Amino acid sequence: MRKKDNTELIEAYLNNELTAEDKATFENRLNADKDLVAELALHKQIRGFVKENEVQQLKNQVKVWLQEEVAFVPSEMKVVKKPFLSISGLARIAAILAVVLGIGWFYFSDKNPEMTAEVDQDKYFTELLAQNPGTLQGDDQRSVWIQAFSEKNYDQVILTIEKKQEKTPEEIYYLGLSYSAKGNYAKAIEQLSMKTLQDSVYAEKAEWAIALIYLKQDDKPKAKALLQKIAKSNSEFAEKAKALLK
Amino acid sequence: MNPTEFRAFYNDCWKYCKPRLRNLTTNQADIEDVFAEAISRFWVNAQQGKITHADNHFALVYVMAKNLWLGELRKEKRFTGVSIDARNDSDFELQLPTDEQDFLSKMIQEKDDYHQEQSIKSAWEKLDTKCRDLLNATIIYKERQDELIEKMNFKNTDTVKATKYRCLQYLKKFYYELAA
Repeated sequence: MRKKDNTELIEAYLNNELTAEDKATFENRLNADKDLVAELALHKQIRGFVKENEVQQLKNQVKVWLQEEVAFVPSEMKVVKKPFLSISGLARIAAILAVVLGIGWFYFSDKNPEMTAEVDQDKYFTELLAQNPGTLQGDDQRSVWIQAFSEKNYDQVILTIEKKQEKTPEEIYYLGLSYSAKGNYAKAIEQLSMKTLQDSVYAEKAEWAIALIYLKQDDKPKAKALLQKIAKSNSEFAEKAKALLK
Repeated sequence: MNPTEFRAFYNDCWKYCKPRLRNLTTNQADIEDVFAEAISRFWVNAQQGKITHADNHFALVYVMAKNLWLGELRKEKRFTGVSIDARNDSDFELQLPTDEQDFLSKMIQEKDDYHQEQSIKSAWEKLDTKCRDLLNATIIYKERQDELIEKMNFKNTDTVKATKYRCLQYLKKFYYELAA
């Protein structure tokens, strides 16, 4: 057990905040006190660690951004500068596609009624992520994650909100949505099921989001049970739940 | 730190560095790795007020990334007799003054010098988020105490200071426990 803590003094020394006299006294003490020397070394190590740790955090963030850029490459590549097919060639392809789609529609609309529901769940899921969290008012971190969410930069949303020690129901809700957007459904459900969220204005939204996530996971029994509950309630999502249950 | 500021710096810096790094190697993973390392190390040093040398910060990041890449080549012995000077193309940014080159080398050296001590890492992980944010804000980003009052919901500068010392005390306590 250490007898005396010199944290404040050492920090003042390392920050060059000591007077010349105090600095000399401190350095004299260093010559005689091995514990103090060790404590000073630990402070230096801590500073080195904090710095290196931050470098690693930033590096991870940069790699996420770089990966996002790679993810966008295919759509950039879709920009074809020079047409490689003649108009008649395109018309032929369009005609074939129309026939194929027509047959497909006929086939699925007749024999596979679940297709409509699937399209709806995707639509609803997209709607879920297209929500506008509102104004940028609030602390710096709030404006950061709100902007990130609207830019679909879900990693940034997760990074910013997860850093907060105490999260508001709004933050938990958007954290859950961001995890679901990244395909981390387990984490998404964990967030959206939080008690603080269930007692807030986000309760219905969270429940609806969980139901859609169950569908994404293809966990039909759980999705069905939750959708039935929503459909029977006064939730703003009751009608949509009924539509999915059809 | 303001993440938006870092993101903006990253966007412009990547635009500057990408074509230049692609002139060095076509290996995308290598490019991304050295760029991420260089920009992160540069940013942290800049926040600490250590970058006072050049106006063209993007060029500094590029030279750092390039040197990191050359260092990796040397380590892996993929470097086949071509001297660094020969690879120092006509890019103007490579004509850095000696003190700037020394500074860059120092920044890169930090990467190899620092050996993460597991006990400090474990002790750090035991701290709560507020403590970690506060230590980052004061040690790296040199944020002023009056700014931190609003940003981190402190009552006054005294509580900022007291909390910082308490966090450091916890960190040391955890460290001693783990190291024992």
